[in-house]
Amino acid sequence: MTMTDPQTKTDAEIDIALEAVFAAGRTAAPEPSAAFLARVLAEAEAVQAGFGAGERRAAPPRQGLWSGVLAALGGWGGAGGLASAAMAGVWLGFAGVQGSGTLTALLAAPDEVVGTLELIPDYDSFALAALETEG
Amino acid sequence: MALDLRSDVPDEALLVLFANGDPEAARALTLRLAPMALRVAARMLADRAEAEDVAQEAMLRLWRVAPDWRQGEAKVSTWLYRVTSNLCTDRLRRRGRTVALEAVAEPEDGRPGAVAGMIEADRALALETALAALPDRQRQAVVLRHLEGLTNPEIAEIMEIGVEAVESLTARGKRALVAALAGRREELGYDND
Repeated sequence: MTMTDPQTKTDAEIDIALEAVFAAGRTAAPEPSAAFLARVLAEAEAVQAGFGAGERRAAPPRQGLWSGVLAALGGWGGAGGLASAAMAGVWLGFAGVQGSGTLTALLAAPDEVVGTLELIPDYDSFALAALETEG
Repeated sequence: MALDLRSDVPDEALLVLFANGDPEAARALTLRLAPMALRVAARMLADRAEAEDVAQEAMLRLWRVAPDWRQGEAKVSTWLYRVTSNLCTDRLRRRGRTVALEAVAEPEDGRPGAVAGMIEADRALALETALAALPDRQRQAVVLRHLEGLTNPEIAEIMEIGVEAVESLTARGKRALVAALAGRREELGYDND
């Protein structure tokens, strides 16, 4: 066997020439040390623990429908505000049957009109109120 | 039975188990794949400490990508070969040139038996030295083909080139190796012409 004149060799001759060297290279493959494997495994476990934490963060909280609704409303404070508004709406609705449907008509003194606030401003009430105030 | 002893469980399945929090899968994948990454890095870089850094980094990227791994797209080993190789290429570029030749230890000369019956370790060292002198892509192709034993289509996928380009790289790389080793044929225990 020869290793000279590589440019004139066929591919098969090149393979034969290198066969023993490659075999030696495969045999002498670097072996991982225990310390290296331990480092790799430690990182694997750390990343894996992160998956668990991420899942816990991402998972929907164990709660019922109403607690979810409560959270959407901004907690008990928000729910309380909503309850107050609802009760006021009920009362206004009841009172509005006989009145003009404006908060002013219900609350303000007859001789002291400071403005008009319609709960359902389907007319040009704000402009009208402004004119009344200016006048 | 421990997963690392079950060669019938494919890497891809182990990676899914890993992503689902299975500690045995982490251990099995480490034992199965980290040595592979280290081998390639060591042969590409000819520097053990740097090779460990690169292999550890490649494995870390594997752990992180596990939850997003899409089945059927690529083999885990192919992916890891590619990541490891690319990390090595980055390192070599930062060095400025290819493998630091001075990092490859020279075989001891002049000792008894060095000419006629050179031991296999010396052949391996001579190969390491000759590989270090190859251009990066040729070295990568030769390492994957002849030391890792991959097929040309597998290497093509890893290197993201065509099969013909792989064949060209390995052919040129091997001719360069023969030329580099020619002057040392006596040391390597080969017969003269």
